Amino acid sequence: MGKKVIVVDDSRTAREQVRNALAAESYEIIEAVDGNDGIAKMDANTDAVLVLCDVNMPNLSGIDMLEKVKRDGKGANVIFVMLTTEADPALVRRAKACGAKGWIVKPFKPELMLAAVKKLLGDV
Amino acid sequence: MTSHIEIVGEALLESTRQVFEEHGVRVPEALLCDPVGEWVYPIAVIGFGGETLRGSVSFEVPWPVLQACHPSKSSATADLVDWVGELSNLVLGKLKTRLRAHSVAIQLGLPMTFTAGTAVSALTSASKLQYRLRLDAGMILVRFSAEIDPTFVMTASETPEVVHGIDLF
Repeated sequence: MGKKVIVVDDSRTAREQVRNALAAESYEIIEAVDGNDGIAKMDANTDAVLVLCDVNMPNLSGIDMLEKVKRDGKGANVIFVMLTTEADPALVRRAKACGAKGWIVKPFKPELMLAAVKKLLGDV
Repeated sequence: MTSHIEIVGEALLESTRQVFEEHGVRVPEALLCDPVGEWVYPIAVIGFGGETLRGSVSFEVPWPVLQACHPSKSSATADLVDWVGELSNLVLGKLKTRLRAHSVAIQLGLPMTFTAGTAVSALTSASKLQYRLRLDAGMILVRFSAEIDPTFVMTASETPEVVHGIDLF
């Protein structure tokens, strides 16, 4: 299997879109349905290299998840990219301040998403 | 003179049109319409709130339209019900961006989806505006209900800072 990527989104359609977008490469996709599940999946997959994370989700939002992960000292080497309908620069700044490495506004073009992931993971 | 609620309604309409067209479904016509009765198709309801504006929007989208614009053209009921929620999320994201151009800041709620009519009728009984959008694949209904701070004066601001596409830091 290839590098592990965790996709955190409460929409199964959105998760499927990411899975299909990354299918051209041999990334192993792990799915999570909200921020709490995302943290659990990170704990269970400590070899994951990238988290693609929605912002507006039930129970724990994507940015709250990112802040909690960083506060708890987890996933120091994991790259976080937010994937959301939100285009508010204030939210982008908040994510960036927590160490996120990218912001993708939905809907996204699959080939551009794949190119961004490959670039972030040094797979180009 | 265009009222605040009409400005928000127009922004909602354009956001809806944009989302469907981005998913390959043309929207040749969008009309304000009279209230209609029971819901028949899957519905997504999503709330929003801010200091000057709060309310909710519901989207009733027929199964064939959902299937036509679904990313993998799934016909599974669970997939299409999830998809109507995600579509509403996409529309509200664009609405939020458009409203920032009028100095209106809102936070978005999470979409709730339904396939039965009764519960939703109660949720949307206070709707202020309703639109029918004619698409190539069928007709969708958008209901919009909002309260606006009566002391608020909506102004067109300079083009707001907005994030587009993919931004790597």
